[in-house]
Amino acid sequence: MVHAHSFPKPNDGYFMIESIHDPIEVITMFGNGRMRPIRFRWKNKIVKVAKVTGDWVRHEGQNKIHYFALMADNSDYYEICYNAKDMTWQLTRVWMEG
Amino acid sequence: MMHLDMDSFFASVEEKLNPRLKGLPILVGGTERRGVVASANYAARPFGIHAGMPMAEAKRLCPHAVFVEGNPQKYVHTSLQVLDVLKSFTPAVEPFSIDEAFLDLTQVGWAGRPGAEERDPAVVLDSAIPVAHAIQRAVMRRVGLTATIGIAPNKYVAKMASGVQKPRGLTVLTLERYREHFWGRGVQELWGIGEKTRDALGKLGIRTIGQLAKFPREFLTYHFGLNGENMQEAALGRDENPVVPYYDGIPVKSMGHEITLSEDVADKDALLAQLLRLSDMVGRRLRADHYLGRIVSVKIRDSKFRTTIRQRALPEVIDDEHEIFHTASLLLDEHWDGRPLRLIGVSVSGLVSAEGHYQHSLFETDEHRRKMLEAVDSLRDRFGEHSLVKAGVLR
Repeated sequence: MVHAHSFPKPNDGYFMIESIHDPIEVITMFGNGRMRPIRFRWKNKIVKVAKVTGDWVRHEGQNKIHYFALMADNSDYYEICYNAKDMTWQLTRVWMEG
Repeated sequence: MMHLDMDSFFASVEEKLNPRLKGLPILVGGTERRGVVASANYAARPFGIHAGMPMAEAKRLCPHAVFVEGNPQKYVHTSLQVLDVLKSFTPAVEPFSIDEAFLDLTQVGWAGRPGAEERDPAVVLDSAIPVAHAIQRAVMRRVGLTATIGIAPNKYVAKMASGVQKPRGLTVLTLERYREHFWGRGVQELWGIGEKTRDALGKLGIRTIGQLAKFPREFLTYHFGLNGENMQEAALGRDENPVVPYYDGIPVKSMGHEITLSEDVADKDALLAQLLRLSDMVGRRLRADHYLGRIVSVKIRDSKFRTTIRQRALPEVIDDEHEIFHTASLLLDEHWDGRPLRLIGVSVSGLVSAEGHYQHSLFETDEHRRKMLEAVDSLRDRFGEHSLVKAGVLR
């Protein structure tokens, strides 16, 4: 499901933040009691994570959903989440320019 | 006393997480068609945008602003990190909202703090400036965000001080400086005074904070009751309220939920479905925090922004959503004239601790209902709030 919020910027294309709930595959590094996404596959495209800019947790009953804000190596911005209950990853938000 | 206010908090969190937003006007809010701006960064403010403004109006004023859907978990996470920083300076920290806190530094020592013999309040307060700078730096290091600080002899004036210069501001106000700065200004600049009170004060000829401070108190009490006295104390910059540290908790006076409907609704069944959902949320919160309440209130706002709040006191204290809904629906029946509504809310006040109350149920049906509520709460604790939903809500 995709939900886009976009407003035109005069003479400069569009900035868009899209809310997405697509399943993704993620390579993750575990260390120092934390996990850190390294790269992920979304729609057959590999996205390399350049920087984790933030993380937070959402509680759903006893279950925890771990969120990560990421900058890709091409400067695109993504938010992804890991659902500990069913051990799945989702892409939840993406920042696009176009 | 110190008041810390994070600068355009939600928008700044989004900007920090997504560096590509830097320098762009950002609006954070809900996705509903008639949502409001929860936070706008400083790049958006020259366009006349401020928190609380309808999102549609903000978009009209600044069409190229970036809209970001708010995410409470993100902001709570950052807020707790800020609280950790503040606690490293003093244990006397009172979180006032998700992006504000009061700090009591009276029991804390620092290099350059004058001794007890120092009588000049300006010297004492100014000596805390390096501490405020250290807090601002520590917050920036930990969460990458800026904060504004007000320093004053009490909480009220500290809160007013933090509003003087933003963002990244630091303002110290003694009582004398507070009066110099604010007494010539309009009463609406006082924290807690809205448009209606401003207009009511205006009818008495009170337009400035200084006039409010000097007005005969008995007249204010006659017109505004206890609130008149409180407003004058605020105008004088007097406040005896202590900082209530985070670990003491703050007594809760009421619990409620309200919702701005995505479109005006005049269909009674649809409104009752919303009342049921809201009553369910309020009952759940009461039980989770071990409170019972005696007064049920319903708030409605029509399409012309006329707001009505009606309440009913019950013979017994309750925390059961069925009883909350029953009373709320009676109130709606009595006070809603059928005009389309844009907002509806339910709250319960007159709260008391639930400790000991459950043991006195006289009827078996009460026990059955109590056990059923406990079972529902337990399932929601384990599987999440949406694991069980009342059929009446599904419309």
